[in-house]
Amino acid sequence: MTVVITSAAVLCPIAEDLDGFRTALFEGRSAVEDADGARLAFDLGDWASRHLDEVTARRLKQVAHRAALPAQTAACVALKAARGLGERAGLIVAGGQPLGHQADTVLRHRDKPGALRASYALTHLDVDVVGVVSELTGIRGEGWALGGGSASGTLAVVQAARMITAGWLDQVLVVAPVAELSAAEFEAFRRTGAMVSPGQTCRPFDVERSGFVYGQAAAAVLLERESVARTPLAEIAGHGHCLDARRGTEPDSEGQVRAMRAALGSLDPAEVDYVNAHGTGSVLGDETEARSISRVFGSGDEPGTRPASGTSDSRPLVNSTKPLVGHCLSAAGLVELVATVVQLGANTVHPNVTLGTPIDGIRLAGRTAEPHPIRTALSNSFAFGGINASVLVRAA
Amino acid sequence: MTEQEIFAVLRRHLLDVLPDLDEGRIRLDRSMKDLGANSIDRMDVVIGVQDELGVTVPAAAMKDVHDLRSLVVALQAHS
Repeated sequence: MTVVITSAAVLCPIAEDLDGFRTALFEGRSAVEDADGARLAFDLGDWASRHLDEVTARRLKQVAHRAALPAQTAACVALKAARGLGERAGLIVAGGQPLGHQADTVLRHRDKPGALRASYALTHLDVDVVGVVSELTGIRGEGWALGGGSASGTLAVVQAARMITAGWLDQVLVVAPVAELSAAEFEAFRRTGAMVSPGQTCRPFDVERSGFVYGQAAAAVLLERESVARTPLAEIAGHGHCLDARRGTEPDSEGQVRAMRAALGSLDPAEVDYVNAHGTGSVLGDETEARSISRVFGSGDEPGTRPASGTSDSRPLVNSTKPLVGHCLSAAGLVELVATVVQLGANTVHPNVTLGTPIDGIRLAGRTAEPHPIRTALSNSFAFGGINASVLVRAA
Repeated sequence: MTEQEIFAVLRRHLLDVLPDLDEGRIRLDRSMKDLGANSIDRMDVVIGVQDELGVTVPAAAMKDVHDLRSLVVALQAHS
């Protein structure tokens, strides 16, 4: 059974809809200004008045105006991506924990316990996103919030594809809210060494990379069984998901290779034209992922794989969207899947704007957008806790 | 604090919780339920008003509240 992506939406600092996202990607417009991250300036009412008719805008505000930032941003992208939903539609929310809202509420509660609102019983939950989105879209099938750290967005797509393939549902709306952090999580990420220090930026696969930069973005995609789909953007051609059986922050090339190979299935790796890497810009993470990619697709050093001059390199072009939108953590996989589908649809790769001196072993996209035929593309997400996920998409 | 002053605070909190509410419908003889507030909304309004006014109405006294007027009376009695 074939599962296709039929609509997609993104809300991030460089774009508020899919067309804007496409333009921003190919222009290489970056929301990463400093080590503080690519943060969204967002007001629900303002967004609604720019993007919705009056009736829908009013409904959005009624349902979501007192929800936390993750639920509000999820509601926006869900309304953009939801179309033609039937009785057999489901919902998977990737991430959704409102960590900033939780921390603010706890600190206020310590100082002023009488002021705690009863509605915090709802707003502190990741599944408040499920409630908000399902009310706005009318989805009545299955629905839940999925936690997979920085792989959440990709894992949600994997699960959605499986549910449709298994015949449980015809349509699944996958929504990744903004991954909200409090000051404590933000600083802890810095202290692990995974996130950049002030004065540095996100430079995936560059020899001078020093860490990731936090990004706030929400995304949604609608997955449908091909027989009910009207306007496919791309096909989900495969997926892989596996664990390293090891707690911690360090990546493991073995697991990454297994996830990518599982996504490829029986496909010849030479058929893959493009890899949207996890590519956070972290020192160890990028080195490990580059090694994994070259194990799966060849490093170009093997006999017969390095192209003679004038012939084309059969290895996929590898790119990271994170210099443009930051590392959107639990939303990263879905934001980047949308970026992958956009590039596939345009047969063009977006620039890697901060690439100076590339590391060896993989074929990287350059500093300007370039035409590149993309029929098949892979999108990777790797999370703390040894979670590896990879999704293969093909032109519909 | 006068009933009018308390009602003004209550009105503001109601509009905060129910932004779509037509202000003209907020009258003393209406209940919050009439105005479209669900149970969590009603709790949030009462908590917000008590917090702003610095009063605490005991749960027992809340049992007699059936409209905005009786809520204002209860809030005034404990301020």
